[in-house]
Amino acid sequence: MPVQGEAQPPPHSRAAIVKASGMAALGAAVLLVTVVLPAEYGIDPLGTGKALGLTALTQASVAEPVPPPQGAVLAPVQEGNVGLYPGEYKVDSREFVLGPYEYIEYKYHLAKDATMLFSWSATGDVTQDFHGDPDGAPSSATQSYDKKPRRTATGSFIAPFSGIHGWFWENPGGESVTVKVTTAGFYTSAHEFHFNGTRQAREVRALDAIAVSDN
Amino acid sequence: MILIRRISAYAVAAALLSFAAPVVAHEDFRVIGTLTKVDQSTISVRDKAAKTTSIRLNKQTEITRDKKKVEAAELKVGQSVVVDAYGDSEADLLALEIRIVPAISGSK
Repeated sequence: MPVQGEAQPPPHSRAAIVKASGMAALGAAVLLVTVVLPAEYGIDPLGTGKALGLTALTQASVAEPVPPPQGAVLAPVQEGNVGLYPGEYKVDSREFVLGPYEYIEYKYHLAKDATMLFSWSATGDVTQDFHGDPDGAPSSATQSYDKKPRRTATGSFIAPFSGIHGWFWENPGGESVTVKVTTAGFYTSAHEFHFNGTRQAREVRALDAIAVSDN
Repeated sequence: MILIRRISAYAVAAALLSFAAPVVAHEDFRVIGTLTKVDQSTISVRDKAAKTTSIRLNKQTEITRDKKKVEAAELKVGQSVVVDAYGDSEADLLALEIRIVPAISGSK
């Protein structure tokens, strides 16, 4: 409510209001074309966005991709909590039927510090020894990691040295026992050693051998 | 002079061989099956594939039944045995341990 004695501004004429509105609309249009469109949508018809550095705002800031570690040895390069490898891990699954008193050794070649995940189970009692043999060392250099009596084991393993690492399973009884093992890891080969002195290299599967789930 | 050189060459070769011999690795073998022949120095074992393997014994060969040591005279034709042996091949095996085990089905 106007107070008596205060100066009152002169009322605006209709023409003045239209003129002011027109000027405001023009200013908004200029800002839209020169600032908002370049900054928000990358549309820069007048080049003002580029001149003001606004078009960069619409471009995602993607850094140059870092290449994976290089090298022939499948060993990890540690970056904080992440171990990066120069190649993909492999997968493998085997089933062995051990007749009475038979044994088998099944081992993978892993470089020092390389990781492997495993699960194995036996249908009966077995004598087991999870162990490793360093590359080029005599058999006396074998190192045992776990030889507790087990029928099943699931775990992860980091190779303490470059060499072959795996299990000795022996059937100590007179009935056949089946052992199934499944692994995934940064190994390069698998080797099977039989009780009768024979040995065999086994092929390990690359990741593209795994079917992709579609749901 | 030529003879001396030749003898020296043989001596060097013999020395090298004597160093190399212990490096030749023996392999471990296990033979599982039925005794088909037993004598003081050799046993023969027929496995479930009907293959017969001859294995030498010596004084260090340990013979057990139920985890207890027994005399070599306990070995009889027809028994089921598990033989841990080593050698360069299945044709040249020396028994380290012979276990007399309960009859194994399919090994006779």
